[in-house]
This record gives sequence, C-alpha cells and structure tokens, in this order.
Amino acid sequence: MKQDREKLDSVENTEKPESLAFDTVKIPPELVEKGLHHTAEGLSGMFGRNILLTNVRQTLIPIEEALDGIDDLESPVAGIYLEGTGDMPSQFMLMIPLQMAYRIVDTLLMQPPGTTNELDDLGRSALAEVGNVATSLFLNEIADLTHTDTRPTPPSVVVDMLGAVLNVILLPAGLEMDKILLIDADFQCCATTLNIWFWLIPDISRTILSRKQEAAPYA
Amino acid sequence: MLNPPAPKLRTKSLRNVEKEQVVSVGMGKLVVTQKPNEILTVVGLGSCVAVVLYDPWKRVGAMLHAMLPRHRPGASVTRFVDSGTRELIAQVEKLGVNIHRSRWYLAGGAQMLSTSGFQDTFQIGDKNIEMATAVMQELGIIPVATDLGGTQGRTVRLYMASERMTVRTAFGSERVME
Repeated sequence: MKQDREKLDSVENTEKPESLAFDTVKIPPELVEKGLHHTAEGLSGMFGRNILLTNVRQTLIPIEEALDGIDDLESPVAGIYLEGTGDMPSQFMLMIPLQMAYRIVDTLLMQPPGTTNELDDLGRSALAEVGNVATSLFLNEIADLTHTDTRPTPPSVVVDMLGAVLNVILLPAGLEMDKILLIDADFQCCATTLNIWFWLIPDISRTILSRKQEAAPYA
Repeated sequence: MLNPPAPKLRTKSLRNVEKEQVVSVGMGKLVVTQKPNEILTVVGLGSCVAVVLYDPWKRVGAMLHAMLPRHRPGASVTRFVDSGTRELIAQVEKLGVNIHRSRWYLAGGAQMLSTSGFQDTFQIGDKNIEMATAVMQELGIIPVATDLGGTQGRTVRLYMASERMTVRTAFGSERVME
C-alpha cells in the first residue's frame, strides 16, 4: 500500500485514488500511463506521424464536478465511444474537435486536406477505427501487463456538443457511484496539433451488477 | 389541474438593468435566483434533463440539471429528477413562489448514441423523460413548453430579465420555448 501511495504521489490528483480498480484487477497509475503510451505509438503508426502522449491526469472526483473547469461544453466534437468488457469493465470516450476530426478523416482516407466538411458513413467508420485502435492498444497493453482478459466492444461515433457527448459516459457511472476515477489523456502531433482527448471511467456499476448476479443463485 | 398563467409582460429595456451575468448550472446541481440580470444556463445537455421554473410574479427562476431519474439513498438529491424537483419546489416555496402559478419547462433526455449494443447504457435519457413527465403529472403541472428526446444535445437558457426560456441544439440556432 505504501508503495502504491508513493506511485500515486507522482500523478496529478485532486484526491489520491488507490489505483485503477476493477472487480478483480487493480492497475497502478504508471501501468495506465504505459498503456496510453502504447496507444500513442499505435496511433503514430496509423497516421504515419509521431503522436505524443502529452498529459495524463488520473483523478478521483465527485461526479457532479467532472465537467467543472471545462471551458466550452457547447463546442462541437466527434466522440468515439467503446466499452471494455471482461476483467476490466470500463467506458472509453475519445473526443476530437470536429474540425480536427475532419482533418483526421482526410488523412486516413488519403484525401486532400479540406475535403471532408461533414461526417458521412465512411468518415464515421474512419473515426471509429481510430477509437478501435486506440482502445484496443490500451486494453491489450494493460491485459498483457496484468495477465487479465479484456476486450473492447465495437465503437460508436457521435457528433454533438462536448457536454452532451460526455453525458454518455458520466450518467451510467452516476447510477452507482458518487465519485469517479477519471483518466483523462491528451495526444498531440507537433506538426499538426492533433488533439485527441481520451476519457476512461472504470464501470463499477457493471462490476456490482455482475457481482449481484453471481450472488443471486446462492441467495 | 391548473394551467400556468400568462407571463406578465415587462417593458423594462435590457439597457436599464444591470449587466447580464451567465450562471452555469452544473451537472447534478440546482440554482435558484431572484436576480433579474442573471441568465441561468445548462450548456451541452445530453441525456440529462433540465427542469426549469419561472415565477413571473415573484421574479424567481430555478433550474435543475438532473442526471438520472430516481433518487438513490445517500446520493445528492439534486442529481436526480424526482428528488431534485422536490428540492427545487422546497427552495422556491421558501421565496413565496406558488408552483401552480409558475411557468415550467422541461428539456433534454436525448439518446446520444443509437448503437444497439449499448441500449442498456443509453436508456437513461428516456427514463429521465418518463420521470420528469410523471413528476409533473403528480404535481398537477402542465409545462409551458418541453423540448425532450431526440438524438441531439441542447443548451438551455432562462433569461431572468426578459423572462424568456430558450433552447439551442447542436448546429441549430437558439429559439424561444413557448
């Protein structure tokens, strides 16, 4: 525990979480960061550019305060949503400013910059793949490091106001939790200022639900 | 069942009131105000529901930004539609508001993702709408206007000075709820 505390002291927190805790797995913050670096490497390969993990914040905060301090909740973003299943039930949301999302689609579809100015099925599919790659790489790394089994669901893409998109992952958490462990990471590509904002919330509600379901036959 | 009264028209120009101040109502929060220069707002409302009251006689406005339908013991009352609305009523009644003579508005409850695999997760918007509607019926209140459901996020604003309630969806323009 002392060792865990020392590890946590190096992470920016409003309140120190013990670790990224799932039903059977506890993941120290530095492993989370390692997983996110793996994600950055994978995205670099996908885009053919050097993408860096610039910021990682792991914060345990009251759910009502999760959106405090976010400047423009009305700004349009593309959100890519996935759930982690298996030993680490969790929710992931990658958020990309909409104009940036258009540029990413152009890059991935090898189109001249400025070609995309709305998201059709092909554009959404391209963004979904970004979410798929980012989340799969993160979960694979964590699973390898912790010898656990976890997989992402297929992604879903939503385009809307930032605040509304964040509702998607915050509301289910609010069903069972008063505080959430929020992992928030930024990725940047120096040349193109690629901003991808990554939120992960361990889904304790599903852990509790599965525990209840397991307990029921013996009740 | 009582219908809300028609709003009392105000002739005072916005130029004559103190500079308007935007008050953001955070997720799971309730704000009650009597300040005529304030604009209560929820920005980026997704599956959450905004329950809004304005009393044109007492000049009291209240906005609840509820996340979930039904209160869970031990959790903040204003996180939930049912207990949050009761708290809203308790606070405005202390200021002499008659909730049956006030104007009520409901907005939000969008289904942000429609992918079938996530249905359980995304029924929250519908459940919030059901609860808000049920609470209004229980209270014998017919909202002046509602803007509920759909698949888009919203920003809602209650302008205390002009006594207007507006809604704006993503990529849309702001319109008055009436």
